[in-house]
Amino acid sequence: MIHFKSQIIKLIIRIIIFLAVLASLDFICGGILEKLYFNQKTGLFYRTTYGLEKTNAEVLIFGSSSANHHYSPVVLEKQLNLTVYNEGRDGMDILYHTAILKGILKRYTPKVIILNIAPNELTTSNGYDRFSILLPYLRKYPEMIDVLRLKSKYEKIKCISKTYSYNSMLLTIITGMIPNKEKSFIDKGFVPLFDTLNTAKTKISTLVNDPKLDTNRVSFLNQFIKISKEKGIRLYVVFSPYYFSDINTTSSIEVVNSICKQYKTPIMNYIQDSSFTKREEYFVDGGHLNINGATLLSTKLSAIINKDLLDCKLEVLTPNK
Amino acid sequence: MLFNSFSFLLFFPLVILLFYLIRQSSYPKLVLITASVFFILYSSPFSLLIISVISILNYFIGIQIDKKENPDKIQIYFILGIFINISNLFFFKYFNFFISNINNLSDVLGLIQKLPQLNLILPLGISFYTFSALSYLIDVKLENISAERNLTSFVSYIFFFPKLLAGPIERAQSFLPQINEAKGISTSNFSEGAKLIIWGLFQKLVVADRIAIYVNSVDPHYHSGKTILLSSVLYTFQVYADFSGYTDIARGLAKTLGFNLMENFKRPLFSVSITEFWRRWHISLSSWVNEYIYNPLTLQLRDYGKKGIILALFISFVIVGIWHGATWTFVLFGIIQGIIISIELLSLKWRRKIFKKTPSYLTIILGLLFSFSTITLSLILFRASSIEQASDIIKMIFNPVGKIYYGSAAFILYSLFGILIILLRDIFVEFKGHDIFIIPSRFFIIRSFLYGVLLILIMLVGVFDGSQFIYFQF
Repeated sequence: MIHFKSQIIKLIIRIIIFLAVLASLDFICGGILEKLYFNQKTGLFYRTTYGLEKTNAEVLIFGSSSANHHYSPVVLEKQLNLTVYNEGRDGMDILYHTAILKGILKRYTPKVIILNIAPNELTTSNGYDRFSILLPYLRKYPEMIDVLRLKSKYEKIKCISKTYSYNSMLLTIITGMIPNKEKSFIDKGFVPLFDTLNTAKTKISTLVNDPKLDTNRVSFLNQFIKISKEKGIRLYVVFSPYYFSDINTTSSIEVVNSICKQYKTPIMNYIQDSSFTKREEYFVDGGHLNINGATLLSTKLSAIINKDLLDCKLEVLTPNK
Repeated sequence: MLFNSFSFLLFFPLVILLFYLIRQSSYPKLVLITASVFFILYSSPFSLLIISVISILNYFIGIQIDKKENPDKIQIYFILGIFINISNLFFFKYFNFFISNINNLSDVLGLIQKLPQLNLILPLGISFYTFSALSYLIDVKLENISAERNLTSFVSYIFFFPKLLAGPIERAQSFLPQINEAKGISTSNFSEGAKLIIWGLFQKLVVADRIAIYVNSVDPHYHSGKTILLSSVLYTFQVYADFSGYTDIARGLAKTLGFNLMENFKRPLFSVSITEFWRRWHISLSSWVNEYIYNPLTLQLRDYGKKGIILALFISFVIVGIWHGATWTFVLFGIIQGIIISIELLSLKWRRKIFKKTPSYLTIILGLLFSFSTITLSLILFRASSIEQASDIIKMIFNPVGKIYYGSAAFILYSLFGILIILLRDIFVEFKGHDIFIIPSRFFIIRSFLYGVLLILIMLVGVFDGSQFIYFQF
């Protein structure tokens, strides 16, 4: 019995020592990573942090890769006479952008939001793992847990580890520390694409309808539009052009239409817009515009927004309370 | 419940705590059974029913065989036991495969009548515990062991959760005595187990799951032959890291509870022939097949000389192939292994003559390249949905045109880092005889620090999407 007790005590002491060493290592490693993460000078994470914590732009653009590559702040600023920042991010859908919007609104309220929605954005096929990029912000913006909880119900507990918040980010953080001349064309979050589509060499993917809707994504879209409305932000929902598409609508688009109708939010559907359809000079692939296409889309869009803002100027400047 | 899931992280410390607190009575077995029941229930209540029935039947049949009364009676019980285990496995794993082949044959013969397929759920770990139960009955029959008289001990052997889902296929001979021994608390067992768990997690989360992101993103319809080649090579490392990682976690969990599970891998990527590969890869399965199928068959076929040996080899590897899954790709996988090993056996004499004249380093390099590329090509059958798809993939590999897709730079660096660490560790164990992860320091604090660093590394570059272990599907 004495031997058993001494063994148990020895084991408990060793476990405590090991956990203390582990916690210290985690604290040091996580602390260093946190410092490095929030001191980046360029790159993807820098743009996310800037878009969330620093920008005071009057117009914000949200959406996935299409938003990031299709909306030129320079063109929009010139036309609208308002400051613009592009919050778009490759592979990130409405769940991520609702979390970012909530974070931004803690600091200030933009006047206009352009929300670019992918035609199959609200479907189940995308999974939730990619939202771990929000983890570094969780301590400062605890409301982001609503999105992270979809990834795993234990995400908040996992974040007891400071290092876990920066999981798989080390190399991107290091590249973000090095000023990159090649990326100097990135302006106010906008990442233009410079290639031109060559249909003889590239297989063109056309738009197909994915009917499996994700109720979480539908609910977050609803929240995004509702919050914008409540804050008096003029919101425009846009579907970007496709090089070629047989269809003009999908299950996701139909849901977006019905939610926007409910909140009287204007929608602009460019999927089959004749200015873009089968014009290789505007595309890099079947679903992404190059710099020329982005300039054209931004010009066309800003003309419509300009007119709309003039029509409803009072509404934009007086938030609903 | 997966070993790499958060729920398991909460579950296992509770099991250890309970197991250690009541270790000095007959209750530890009950703790193990309760923990295993909870473990199975959490994932599939239906599996619990099947494994319970199979365990109880094997328990009673084992006792009947061991009574040594009437040889005819013993034989009847033995055949009954083998029949129950094999028919259970056949029904859940192979029935629909069998029916679909009968229906295909009917099509060829022009018969209209089709047999219906059943909507069956594959019970957890069925291939693994069926082989454990079969070896138990055979060993009792051959009087290598006595039948287990204590039901809780026997159920603990079949149910034991660290090995239940994907092995190792533990023999009753080595496991049952451990169950029946009184367990004392041992800090060395605990720390050895913890080391194995950490190393297993590294293999799974940092290497296997990282490579899986790339391998899963490669589509033979869209990507080039070079890309398919790269993903096939990486898949070999993925399967190794995944299964070896699982086994190390399983062995580590068992060790913390005071149980030794057999080694399942001995640096298989350093094999210089396919024969050697199967001595180093999934040892618990290959040794099982060797002991209970190949050896008895060679004995039966001894009059046929080499032909008998080759037939026995062939049958054994077809069983190894089909054990993995009810598809023709797995049958072909087994056939290919059987053919290559037969060729290796037949060519042994003249290969030795040639090797005498070539420098040994060249022989080793050629052998390593041969076995690695053969295994890489064979593993295509693991992933392919049909033999046609596998053949298309192999054709693409041998016609490597088009651009290579690497994914992201981060992916390449993380994966190479992981593979390098695994190979480095294997090189040390293989050639230096010591494991670089068994840190030799006398000071606990230094060991804690170094294992802490390994855990931090896992948290930093591991993939935490809770993905399945590849061998669970088998």
